[in-house]
Amino acid sequence: MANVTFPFPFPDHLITLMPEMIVAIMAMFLLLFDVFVAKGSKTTAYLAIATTVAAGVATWSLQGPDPLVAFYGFFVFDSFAVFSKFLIYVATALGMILSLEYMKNEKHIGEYYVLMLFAMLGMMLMVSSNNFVTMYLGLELMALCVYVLVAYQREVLRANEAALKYFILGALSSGMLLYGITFLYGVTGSFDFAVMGEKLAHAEGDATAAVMLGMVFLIAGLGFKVSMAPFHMWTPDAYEGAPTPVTAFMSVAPKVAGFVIFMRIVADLLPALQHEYQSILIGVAVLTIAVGNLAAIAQRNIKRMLAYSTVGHVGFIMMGLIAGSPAGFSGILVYLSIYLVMTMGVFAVIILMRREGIQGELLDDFAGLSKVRPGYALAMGLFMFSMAGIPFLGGFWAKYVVFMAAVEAGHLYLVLYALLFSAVGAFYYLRVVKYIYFDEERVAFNFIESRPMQATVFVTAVTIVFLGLFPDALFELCRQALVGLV
Amino acid sequence: MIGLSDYLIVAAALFSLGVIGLFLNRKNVITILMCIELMLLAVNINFVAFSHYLNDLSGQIFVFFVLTVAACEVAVGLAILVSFYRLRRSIDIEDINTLQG
Amino acid sequence: MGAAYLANEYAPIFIFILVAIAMGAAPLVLTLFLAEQKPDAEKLSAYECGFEAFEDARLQFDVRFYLLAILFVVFDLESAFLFPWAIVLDQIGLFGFVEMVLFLVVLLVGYIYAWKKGALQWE
Repeated sequence: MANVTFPFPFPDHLITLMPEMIVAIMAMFLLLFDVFVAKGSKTTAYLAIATTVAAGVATWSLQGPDPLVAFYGFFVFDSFAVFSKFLIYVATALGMILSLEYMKNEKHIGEYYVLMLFAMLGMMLMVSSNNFVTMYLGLELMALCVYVLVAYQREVLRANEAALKYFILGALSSGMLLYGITFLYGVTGSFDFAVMGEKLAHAEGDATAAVMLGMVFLIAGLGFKVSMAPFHMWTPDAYEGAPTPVTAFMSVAPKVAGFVIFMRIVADLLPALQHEYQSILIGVAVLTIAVGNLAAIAQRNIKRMLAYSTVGHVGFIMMGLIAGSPAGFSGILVYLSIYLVMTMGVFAVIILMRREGIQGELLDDFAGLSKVRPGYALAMGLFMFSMAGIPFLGGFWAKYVVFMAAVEAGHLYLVLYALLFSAVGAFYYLRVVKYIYFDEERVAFNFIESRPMQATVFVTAVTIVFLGLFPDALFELCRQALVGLV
Repeated sequence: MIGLSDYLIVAAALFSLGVIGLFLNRKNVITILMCIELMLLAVNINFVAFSHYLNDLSGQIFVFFVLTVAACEVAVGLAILVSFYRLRRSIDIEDINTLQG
Repeated sequence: MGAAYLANEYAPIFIFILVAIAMGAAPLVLTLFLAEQKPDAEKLSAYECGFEAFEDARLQFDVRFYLLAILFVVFDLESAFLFPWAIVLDQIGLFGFVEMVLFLVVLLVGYIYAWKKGALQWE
């Protein structure tokens, strides 16, 4: 047997992984730091937030014109990964900031932030993966941490129940994803996206059946993670049961990671099967858009309503995948960025309204908010208008870019259908505004007073208005991010 | 000779049993964990079969990762289940019914 | 792939299963014929180290067993990575060694955490 030589030491590879290494080492350090030194004090939380910033700085300093590839193609660091990593850092950091007050009464709080860091590490690995092995490991690291985060309030029954449901369906989806991967591996003999894409283009005979089977299972498995209908069943339960900051975190960051990996797969792995995956995705998108927007109308709990609204947004984001063009992909990045800002803002307001126990969750609780706290009311109103896609707020441009990309790709009917349902969606978003501005106060308000969270609401609201007026910079950024992918 | 298709059929049967068990089982959450494990083992059979057939080791390496991740997954699942049991004094599926709508 | 080949390849396993079943069944069947059967109340009661049986045998396991089992499952399977590594250690050299040490350090962090949290304590 040939003597395998490894480049030792291989600094280039390790430097490419600098942000990941920082997060991994800090997460492990904080785990021990919390049990030995901090013992549940807020130091752990601040250090965890600092870690996301450090990871951001490391990522920023590493980026250059050329994509870096480490570990023989297992790990890529291209502008696409950089952009999505920044989205993940922002989502995680905001999730931590929102947790500071909300979770302060929990007994064992140190691990909470460590789990968030590990989830972030998983997502970072995922968006940088160019290979099913790294993708799977990143995905599972993320998923396992999020299951635990959902169940973090151990004494709350519905949190446990939500976690149990989420876990069962999540494990099912991992199984399906893996089963799909096995067939694609069987046809191509590789786990590398590019190599597999090359080989899939030449599959024939029996292999085509295996490829189709593999692709369907792959899309189903990934669809679970980003809550596409009919694989969205876990979403409302998990959103409602989870602590609200976790809901905010998991409604943004895993979706970013999931769609990014979806784009990599569509771009690298499945270009030869464009017709096939498009027809599957169109069917799924039609269902997702309808389910999300219709089911949200019936909800009285705002977290459940936002869960279905997420499903609806996922349906709209999928239009970019269906377009399959650079415009579609950059549209997805635009949509994800704006969605991140809106969602984090909405959840920040919800958390600020937390009263004794778990409240500020029913739509009724928002009645008359405008008279007590006009600032929160204005922000909430802006987010709702933006989510409904009213011009000229951020959410309008998000929809505009993916819809335009889909029209250009020749899916006019799908876009008309989506427009119809976004009009339906406007109904339940505007209903919240009605509660806030035109109803009388029903339950006495009792707000959390927290500067960091108020700042979050302010900054996200301003960002949404700013992006609504000047979206071009974001469009350009997202176009730049795609260099190297398509 | 036992060919590739035989292994794939066994794996497909195991995988289907796992999925069917997951949906038809109306009694106990532990059974669900076992069904999930069955699905992952079916996946492993597929990987090893393809790996042998293609004469390529990477499939078997993936099996190692799948095995260990499956162990972690089941550990997290059991932990959530124990925590649920402490509150509800039951692990029956019928009792997972607080969240609806 | 003929049936004959199948039979050939799996014949030892089949024979092994038959022998195993026979070994298990033999004592049960033989006692029916060979042993003298004179049951009384004392003989039929469950044997529990000489004192009276005080609990049903089918009680639920203590939840603490689960905790230990969970930890065991994780650490046990992570160590599965050691076997392929040990076999090729002479080929991957220092690099492979350092890599595995790092992996074990990560496991150690988890272990110290579990220890410090009291997960290994029975009480």
